[in-house]
Amino acid sequence: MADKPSVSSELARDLSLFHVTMMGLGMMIGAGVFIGIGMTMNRVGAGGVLMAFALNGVVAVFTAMSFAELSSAIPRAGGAYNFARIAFGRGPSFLAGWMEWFASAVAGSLYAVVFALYTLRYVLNGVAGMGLTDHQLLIGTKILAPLTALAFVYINYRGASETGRVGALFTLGQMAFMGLIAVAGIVVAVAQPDRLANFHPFIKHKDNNWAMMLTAMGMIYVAFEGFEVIAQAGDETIDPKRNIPKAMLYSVLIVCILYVAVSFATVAAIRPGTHIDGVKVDAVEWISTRGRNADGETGFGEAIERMMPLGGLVVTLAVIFSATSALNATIYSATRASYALGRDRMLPGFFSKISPRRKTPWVALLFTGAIVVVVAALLPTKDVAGCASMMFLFLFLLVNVCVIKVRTNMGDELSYGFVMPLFPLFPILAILIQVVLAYAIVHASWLAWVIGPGWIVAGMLVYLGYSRRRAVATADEIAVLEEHPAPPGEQYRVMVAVANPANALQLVANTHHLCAAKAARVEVLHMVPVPDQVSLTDAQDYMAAGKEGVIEMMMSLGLAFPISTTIRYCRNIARGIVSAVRQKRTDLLIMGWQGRAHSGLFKLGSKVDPVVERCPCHVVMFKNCGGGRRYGRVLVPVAGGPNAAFALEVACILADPDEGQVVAFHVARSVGAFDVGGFLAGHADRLPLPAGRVTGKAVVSDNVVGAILAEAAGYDLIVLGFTREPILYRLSRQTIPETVALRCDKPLVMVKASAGLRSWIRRWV
Amino acid sequence: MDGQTIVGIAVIAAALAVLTGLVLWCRRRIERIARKGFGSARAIEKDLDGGG
Repeated sequence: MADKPSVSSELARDLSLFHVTMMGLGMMIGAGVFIGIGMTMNRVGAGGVLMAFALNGVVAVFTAMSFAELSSAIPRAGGAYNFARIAFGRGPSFLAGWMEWFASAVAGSLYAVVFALYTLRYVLNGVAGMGLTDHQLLIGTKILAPLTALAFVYINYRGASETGRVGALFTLGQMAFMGLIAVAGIVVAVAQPDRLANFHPFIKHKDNNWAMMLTAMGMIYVAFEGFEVIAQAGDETIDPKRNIPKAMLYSVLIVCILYVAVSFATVAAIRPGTHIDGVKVDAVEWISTRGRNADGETGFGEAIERMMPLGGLVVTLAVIFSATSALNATIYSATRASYALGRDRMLPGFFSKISPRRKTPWVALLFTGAIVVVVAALLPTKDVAGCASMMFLFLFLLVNVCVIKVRTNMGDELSYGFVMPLFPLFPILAILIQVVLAYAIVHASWLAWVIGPGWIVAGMLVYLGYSRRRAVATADEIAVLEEHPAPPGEQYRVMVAVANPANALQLVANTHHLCAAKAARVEVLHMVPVPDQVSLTDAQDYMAAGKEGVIEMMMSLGLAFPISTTIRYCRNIARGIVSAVRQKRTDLLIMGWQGRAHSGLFKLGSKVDPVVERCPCHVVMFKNCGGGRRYGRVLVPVAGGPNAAFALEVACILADPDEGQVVAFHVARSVGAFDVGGFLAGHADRLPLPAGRVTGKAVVSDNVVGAILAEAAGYDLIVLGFTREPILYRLSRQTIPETVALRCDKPLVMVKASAGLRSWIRRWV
Repeated sequence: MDGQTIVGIAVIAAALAVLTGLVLWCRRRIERIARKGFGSARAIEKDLDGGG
């Protein structure tokens, strides 16, 4: 049994849609937009800035849709870390959490420094008139920035509710000032239309305009990072399946509109022909050459200062609010990432300790605060920020891959609150574009490609040296209540899934035959469904109802085979069975079927369809097969393929070993379409019956189902292979095996052979 | 207003329209799913496709 985490308290669930939306906005509207406008204008011109922000908004919403879908299905703290773990396992998920922790913490350091710099510059030089030199400002910044970070570490320690409310307050403040700037820009443009001349030429003429546009988009994409922090709040959000996807999408839409509007205001801020310091300036040229390196870093602020009364104060307040709310959100994000690593023992377990009083993971917060403070105090910011941006891009890319993998492999197991339209078009587009943007960042900061991979390599060493041996198994929505392990050994593994204890004994005899043929060991699995409203602590009451059937089955099979039992609590039986099959590395799953579909959405039932579709092993499903007798005449409808061959093998095992006859039956719409004799000859070596007792028969008929049902009347057992038609085909109509299975009142067995990757490809193609 | 400016404004307007449309489309799906009950991706897709 897997080692369980020692976390004894759950996180408080008290963040609303408003709070989590504000949280995302607070992290997105950070330093990126303030330095990005001037730097981008230098490359693509006034109109190009607006285009870059608008197009980036579209790219960002592609990834936001991936985050939204995954967060709705996996609403737990940890975000990308959890997604990667469920999609790819421990190694990639550790790296995802490791990168997310560092990227968020370092971004927090950047915001702390920006906050300190603007505050000191305005208060000491602007208001107090102290005339500090750049060196003195730098020293002051390196003192104030860590103190600011510590203050927000304390706010985060106060708890989720306080975090959300303080963050929302600061985010509202920054949006108010940004909105004021945007409105002022529109007002002055309407009042003085000659300012629109700054937009001519709309895009700066270069040799390759579109290449420059991509570079510009890459440089300012960091301004759209931040919505992923919302995924971290899954454990604390009210109605997370609904509110988290909405909050992610809303925050991207809001910031995109705000960025375009603020960019417009910046361009319109300088009236054409204005003289600054006695020199007539070209507005776009002037904005894009502000800053120490004449690269436009401070162009936004200096332009807005000249557009409106108290412009310097408004810009400073906007930057202060933005930097602090982003700092708050990044500390929150980094803390939750490291908390999730500790919870799953990827990092030492004390990372997951929760304060009994404040309900916050205080140890994870402490380590995160240490990174933020050290980086803010000691390291240069530009290249480290570039490094953080790069790792965010890697993370986003990974999440877009995860959403494809999770939907493809576990789409039937997870409970979604949102599924994106036109899947997988948007994640594929996002992956391609993010590769291009990452390339653009390489040109902006080569040092990012030194620091970033260095952190990743360090993470790999931590994983190989510590995490790999200590990490605990993921148990999403499933908990093992009672487990009796089988004696050790590498035998063929058969799992018997018991959903209804009353039917358990009907499976015993046939299970015995199959296990004897395979010299197998048996795992009896009883899934106990418990409603969402019932807590895990009450699951014992539900378990008692099914225990007798499992015990009887253990007694019956335990005399002949090594046997183990597991009784599990789960929210969904099908998901629980598939997860158990994966975890136990089962070779063959045996289950019973009542013979009717329970829902119009499923062909054979809500428990059967997902299990058959998703199980990575052979599946044998019995209908009306109680009584323990062996079967004299067994009919196996065949049409080629591995399922038919497996059906033939199962039929031979279940047939009476002394007198049983197995008939491979094919219904063709034309003569000679399928060679039954050749099919039998091709699989003769795997059939346990003598060749003379396995015969073939073919008929020609346009009504395949009718012909099979008519032929079945003379047999004791029907063994059918599941269809191997692609998923989209099966969704649109009922297949022949499904129709026969539903209409046949004889004892019937349906089988599916595992085909690994080939099966996965075939399901879709 | 020259041709380049017209194209640029059209690109910005189209991008914002696509962004807004996608967000509203997704919001509508979220509400529909919440109303009809959460479920597997396949079940939801089938349900949404059937209901528009």
